[in-house]
Amino acid sequence: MNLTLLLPEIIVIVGGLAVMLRDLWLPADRKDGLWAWALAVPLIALAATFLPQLDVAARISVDGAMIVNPEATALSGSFYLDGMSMLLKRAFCVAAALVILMSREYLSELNRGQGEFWSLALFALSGMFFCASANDFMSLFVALEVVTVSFFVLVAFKRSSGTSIEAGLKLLVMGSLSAALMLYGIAFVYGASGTVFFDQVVVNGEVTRTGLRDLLATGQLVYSTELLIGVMLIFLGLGFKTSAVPLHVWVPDVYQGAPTPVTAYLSVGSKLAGFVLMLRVLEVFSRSGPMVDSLTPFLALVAAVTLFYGNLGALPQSNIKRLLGYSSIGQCGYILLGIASAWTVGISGTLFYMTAYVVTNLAAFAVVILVSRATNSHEIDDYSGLGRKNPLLAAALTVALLSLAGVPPFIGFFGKFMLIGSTFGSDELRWLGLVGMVNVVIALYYYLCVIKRIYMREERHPAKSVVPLRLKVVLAISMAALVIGGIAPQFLADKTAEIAEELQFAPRPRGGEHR
Amino acid sequence: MTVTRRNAVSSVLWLVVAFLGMSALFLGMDAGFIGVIQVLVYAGAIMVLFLFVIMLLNLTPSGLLRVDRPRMKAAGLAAGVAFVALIVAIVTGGALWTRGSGDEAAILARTGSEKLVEGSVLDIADALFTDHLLPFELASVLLLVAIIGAVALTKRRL
Repeated sequence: MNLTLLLPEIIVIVGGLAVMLRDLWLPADRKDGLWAWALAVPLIALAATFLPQLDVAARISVDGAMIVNPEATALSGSFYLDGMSMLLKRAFCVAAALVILMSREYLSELNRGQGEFWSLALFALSGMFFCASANDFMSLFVALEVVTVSFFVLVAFKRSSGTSIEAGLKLLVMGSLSAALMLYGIAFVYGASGTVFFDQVVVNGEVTRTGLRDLLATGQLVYSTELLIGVMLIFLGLGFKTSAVPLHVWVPDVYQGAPTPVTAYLSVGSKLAGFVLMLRVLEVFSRSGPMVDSLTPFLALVAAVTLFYGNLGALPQSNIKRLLGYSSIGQCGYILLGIASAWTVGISGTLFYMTAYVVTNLAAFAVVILVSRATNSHEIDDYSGLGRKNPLLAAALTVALLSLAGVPPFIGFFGKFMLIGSTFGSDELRWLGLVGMVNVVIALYYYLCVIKRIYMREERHPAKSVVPLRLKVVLAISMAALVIGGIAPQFLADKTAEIAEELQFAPRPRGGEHR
Repeated sequence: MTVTRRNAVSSVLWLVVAFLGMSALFLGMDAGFIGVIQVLVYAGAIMVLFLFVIMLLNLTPSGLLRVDRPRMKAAGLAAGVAFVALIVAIVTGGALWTRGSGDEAAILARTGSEKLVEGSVLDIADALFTDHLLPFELASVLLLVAIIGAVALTKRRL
């Protein structure tokens, strides 16, 4: 039993419990200080991910073949630690810390249930951690449900607001539907293979259960219709979390109705948890050529439809949260480009973009929170004249939106460059790259419309936003990451390339071998 | 019968019969423990909860569900036909669904277990506390989240 590997998870769960209990002992007038406790948890967990004990080689070479290192797994193989899970856990920690910094003001206005809010946010974080490390379908499902159930409550947390309750209910209904689809898919895969494990389970040096990777590698499990249906259903279920078409319909309503900090958390945390599981499942089945052949067109189609839906849907929006909701569907499409291409460069781009997306989106939402506190609305028209009123805030939003649009020199540009570039390696997917490029232009239009309002229009609300220190910290961190990541993307790109190498996707694009 | 009853209470009582049938299926597969738990948990606890909720809602006869829209009837008919077609397809063309999974012996060899159906208390405990310990423990977090959520969303003053 290798419980040291679970240290960050244990810290987060214990921290969540501690915050909840601390809430009970605090007198009502001092509950505002609870945010510092909540903030400490992701920071300690982030520090814990850098411990040398967690730095275990994810793969070892046995008889010339690279296999999963049993030392890097815990709890009979259900928990797996590799470069991808570490990178994502750090990203989740940063996301949770920034969201906690943003939520403080919102919560003191709400004046109820602070302890519950913080502990739910932390439990959601623990669920995301387990998603990043899930190594069998059972853990995958339960970890994903921990995230989803926490978000049902967080989204509906503002009980006095009808839209918040409505958003929570919509998320609940769609979430249950997608969970059912995914479970059905898992049942199909189990029926075809007889195992739910990704890797074989080794107890005391003896193999006690076989895993999908090994069955596919040895050819005991071959391509079959039921396996394909199962994997597709699982991808559909995960597509709900990542807001991919066809389970995307909840996104604009929920983004609009949920409390803004929760929307920010939902747009990065829950989404990335879905993507990391997509990558994990795809990697397991990437050993089987026919499976990849059938999955690639499916994923490519989903990516293309998601891109068009998100970016075209964003065009007529007048509410900034709805706009960011549609834009988040569009961003999901870009990440799916890399996943669909399923070769090392595409996966590296996917991981790069996922990391970049955290800071970019959180920066945009931080500005939205500040502006809406001053103007009490989320209409894009109310951003008119922001450039004269709050030049720094306007600059931050501009940078965040330009990075989302993929304009150099910000970090989003390199992410999009890698993702779209990866599809051009393969003959079959070249059309998808073109779709991606067309969508960059569409997206640029609506992001620039917002920027135009900020700088070119007369102001409508004279109220100036007061920026508390906590949000200054959020904006400073994310701006620094956006610009430094944009000027020197090499550091992160090297890291993601190394991780993609470790994941053992195809080293070359499909259909591109002859070049 | 569960879906044809107009009165929700009768529906629930018929659902109990369905659950008993399911537990009989488990018993037939030598999974005694699951069969008994099925009766205790579903037919017992969950059904009592269902009945409570239905009685709290206090349905009047006028509020009972009526299926009198032709479109709904057509949809129901289509679903029924599809279901029968599915059963026929499975019974006649069974080869499609077993391809790739092999026969009993192959499944046993692949999963590394001795029996095809594992349903005794020992087997379940074995699976929960060794192979699937992580999801089992994680389920406790999930339940805690659900409890906190229920309290946070329903309590008037927090």
